[in-house]
Amino acid sequence: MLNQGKAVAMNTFRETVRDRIFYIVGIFGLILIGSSAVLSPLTIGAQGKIVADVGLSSMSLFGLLVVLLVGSSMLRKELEKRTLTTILTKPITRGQYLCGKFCGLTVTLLCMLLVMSLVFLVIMLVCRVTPHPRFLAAFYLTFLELTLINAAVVLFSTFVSPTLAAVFTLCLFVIGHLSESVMNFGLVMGSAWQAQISKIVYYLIPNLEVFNIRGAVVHGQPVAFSHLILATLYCLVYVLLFMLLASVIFARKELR
Amino acid sequence: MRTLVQRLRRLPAWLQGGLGGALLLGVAVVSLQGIERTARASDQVEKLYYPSGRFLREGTVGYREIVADFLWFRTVQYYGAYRKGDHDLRYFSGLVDAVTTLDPQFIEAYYFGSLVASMDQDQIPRAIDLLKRGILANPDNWLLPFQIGFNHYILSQDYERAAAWFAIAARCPEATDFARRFAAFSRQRAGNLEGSIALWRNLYETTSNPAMRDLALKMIGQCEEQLQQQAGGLPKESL
Repeated sequence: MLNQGKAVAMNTFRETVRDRIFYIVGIFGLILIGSSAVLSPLTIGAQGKIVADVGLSSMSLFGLLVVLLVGSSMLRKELEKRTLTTILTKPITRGQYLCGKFCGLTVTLLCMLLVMSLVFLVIMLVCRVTPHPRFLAAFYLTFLELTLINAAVVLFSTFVSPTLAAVFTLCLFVIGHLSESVMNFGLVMGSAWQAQISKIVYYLIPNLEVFNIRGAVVHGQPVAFSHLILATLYCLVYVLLFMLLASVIFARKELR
Repeated sequence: MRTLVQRLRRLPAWLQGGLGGALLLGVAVVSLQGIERTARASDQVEKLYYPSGRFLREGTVGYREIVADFLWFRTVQYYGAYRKGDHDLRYFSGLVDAVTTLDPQFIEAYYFGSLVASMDQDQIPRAIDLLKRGILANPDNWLLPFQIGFNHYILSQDYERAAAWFAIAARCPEATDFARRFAAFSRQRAGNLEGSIALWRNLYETTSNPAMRDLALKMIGQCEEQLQQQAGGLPKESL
């Protein structure tokens, strides 16, 4: 049963590599080199901070782009090419197929982040900025955030068009980063029911700020190990929820 | 005109393409220069449209630090243009506020912002307020209280206050001997000789730098001598 899902995942990975998704890593490297070499006279003593900020933010931003562009059209492509109907005639359930797709893109993201992290570390060393092991925590949490977003895009792509799936995912990303503000807004509104609603919204929508430790890492603040463990758990819960929901919707979908 | 067109048509295709490309590029460059001239004229207005740091903090969804860096570049360029005499520093503090609201740990922004406020704008209270805001967000950083002390020492010549801020800086975990030395100097300058001796002694006992230890010892001697003179006693040499 695992083998079928694995085959779909491997195929998805190969497909994304064939789509030359790794060109993005090249652009990432150029941006980093540009920010460190060209902009350094403008940094006034903050070169290390700026190179680290640009590197970590670009990793997250490019990862998000890959998820939105590749993830949103993954299912539709197979539907249009009719390969999906052929695959589903094999002994594989729709849920397994979806999980395979999700895992394939997650592996692509992982490889991309690993290569970008290496480029980032090399450029930091070239700029004579000592990379702290804390940066590994930032890479890891960025990966978790992208995994969660990946699960969300798979969920949305089961019932809406690729464009809408990308838009919905982007909205989730924005709201996810603002969820604390939503709760605070509800609390200052005054009425009890508004506060309750905002609290429900806060706990329902994934709080993506949990995965954002870029600022803390760049400024050398400590990152608790328990934070990493709890963030992993938090990510897993949402990934499972989204994938379960996606499987239920996809199982009922009429394939033509 | 017609003959020119006919001649151009007779040129090889690659040359036609090259000439066409160069012409289009020329038009682009001229347009850009025109846009830049207009932008330079309305540069003051542009700063008015920078949203406040609080708005940017919410609006930058997870990418606050990189937006702070971008605004930092704009701040440095804005200051550079001021140094060239293009404009005054009317919007400088707004830009620094936005940067520090987006990234409260951006020490260089507080430091540079306070230097410009005190040295170029002659606004020492504003410089001190900015540094105090920085201390609230970075209580362990020694450079910010040290800079407040520096402002009091050099610009306001309020040595007692300067000494108090230098002493706060010296208590920060990563403070260098420099801060303690300044605290002791200020105390001495303000006439608080006992306080000065205590600070010099602290420096003497804790520093690992032999030159600093010698300096501390020498300064303790000087302070004690002054104390004896004040008390009407005889200086050490005459004993």
